[in-house]
Amino acid sequence: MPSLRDIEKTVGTIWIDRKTRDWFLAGSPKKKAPQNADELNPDVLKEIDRKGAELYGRLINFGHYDLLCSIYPYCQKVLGKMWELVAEQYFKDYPSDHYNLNKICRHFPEFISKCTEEMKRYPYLAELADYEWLELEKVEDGTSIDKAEDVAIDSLEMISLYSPVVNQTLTLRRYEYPILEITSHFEETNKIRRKFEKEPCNVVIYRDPSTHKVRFIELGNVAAAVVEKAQTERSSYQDLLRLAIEMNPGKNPQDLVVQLLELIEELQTDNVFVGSSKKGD
Amino acid sequence: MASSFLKAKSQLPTLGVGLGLRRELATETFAHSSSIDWLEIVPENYMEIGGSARERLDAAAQQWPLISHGINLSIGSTDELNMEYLQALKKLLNDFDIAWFSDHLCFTSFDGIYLQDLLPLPFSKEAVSHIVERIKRVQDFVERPFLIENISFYMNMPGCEIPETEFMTQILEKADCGLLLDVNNVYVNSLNHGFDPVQFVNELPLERVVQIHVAGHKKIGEYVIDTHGAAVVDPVFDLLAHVLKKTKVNGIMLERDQNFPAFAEIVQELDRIRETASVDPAFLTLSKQERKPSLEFVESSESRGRELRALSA
Repeated sequence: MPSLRDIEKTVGTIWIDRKTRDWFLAGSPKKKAPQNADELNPDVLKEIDRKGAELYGRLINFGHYDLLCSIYPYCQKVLGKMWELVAEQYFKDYPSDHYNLNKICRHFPEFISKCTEEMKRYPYLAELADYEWLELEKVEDGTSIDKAEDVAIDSLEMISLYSPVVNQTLTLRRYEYPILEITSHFEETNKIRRKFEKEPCNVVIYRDPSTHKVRFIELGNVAAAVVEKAQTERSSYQDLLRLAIEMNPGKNPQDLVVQLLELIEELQTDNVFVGSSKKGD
Repeated sequence: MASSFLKAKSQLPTLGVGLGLRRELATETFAHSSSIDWLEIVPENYMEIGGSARERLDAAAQQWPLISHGINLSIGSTDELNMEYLQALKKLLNDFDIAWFSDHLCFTSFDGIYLQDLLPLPFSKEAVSHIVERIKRVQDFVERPFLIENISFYMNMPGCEIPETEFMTQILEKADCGLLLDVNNVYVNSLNHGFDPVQFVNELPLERVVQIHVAGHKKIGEYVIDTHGAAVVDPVFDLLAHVLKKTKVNGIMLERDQNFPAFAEIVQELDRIRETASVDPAFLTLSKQERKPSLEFVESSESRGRELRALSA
């Protein structure tokens, strides 16, 4: 009598692994046995209802496929006919390892970056996948966004006393390809373009606490450095100003102060910064 | 030995007729709050999740009692119980003071792989002992009444030794837990596997039923599939009425997960469940909660990803 474990493993493998299932359903000793055939219990195999196994297998595979499509619609568009095989291979290489349904697709950007043929054809694909995953990740992010004091940073005293509070869901990415342009192109034209020139860009991705929508904003190098510094260490607005001056040695510091204050206001309005905290708080 | 579960059941609230909290139906659900007595949530869709989903849950908890119905506890799996999962589940149940929680009598994982589907178990003595021990550990850890639900299934597993009703009864009694009886699953299985659904429910320890699920199904090819995507058929209402004549339950819930109709049709089905429930004097003790003014629920753009649903295949 096979054990419960043997039964679950054997039937489960038939359900999720299409090649093993095809081999089993063919029922022919001539068909080459899959590599994992040794792990399957022969007594269990003899008792499996073939039609039922086929139904479960199809439904499980379709569920995975549908899920991946729902999270990576742009990647699906780009890959077109290749998508189905890519999706199947993904779940083979990265079996569903989490109780949260959507999280089982979190490794897809890593997976696609290793797909040499697809990456050669569409070199921006891994970054596109990363962008798509981050949209879902930020929608669901369990981190609470704690808004801080809303104060006007309009004097030298305020600049030295206060630090920005960065939206707790924010991620800063430096992409090699113009990812926002690429997604806009797909949205507007519904056409796939194979080639996009490399054009590095800084993108912040975060959830807006007022709407719960995920926002993507492209930042210049100085603005990105300011956000990064504010995120990685508690920095007063004065520290951020110092950084901006260091990055722009030829510029008039007074102009930089004005520009930085404008930037801060914009970042606060867009909820990249969610208020300010006073030194010592 | 006296059942501590039955004692606990007698102290559980009687909730009435409920609906699942689904993001596609959320706005309409909030708009029709007076037609719904309580909401069932799939905990995996809210465990350690923020944003719109959490806001929706918080708003729902302001208006209704919530009940948790999980998918991925995988009580029948030979994998170790996932303690990370159980901790997150317990936190959610505590956060919302959820009166009872349930999951399916099935396995959803093996070798650490989640199949994201409700997969049948062999009705064997080994499976009974294995599951009983795991249910006890889950109940001890979570410290709330636990129910298991009968699933619909489309193939008999190798290794079956006893009838399904005996399998379920042994587990319910030895583990001393409750039953979430899905009458649609019984009906669907009766069509696919050829048995009498009334006799099937009569063989179960119905005194352990705390909650009932009612849903629609669809014939696809050779199989009748539990889709939760169609209107509830008369024989399922008849089975519901039959069960309610035999036992008192604390809540009945309509499952609708896809192919959504106009919400008025859902309200009609809830009303019909209410009418059916009223055939049993014991169930007339339904007490409707005092309603707070309906919140205006703002739908956000959760276009990506999927919610986990309690669908067997």
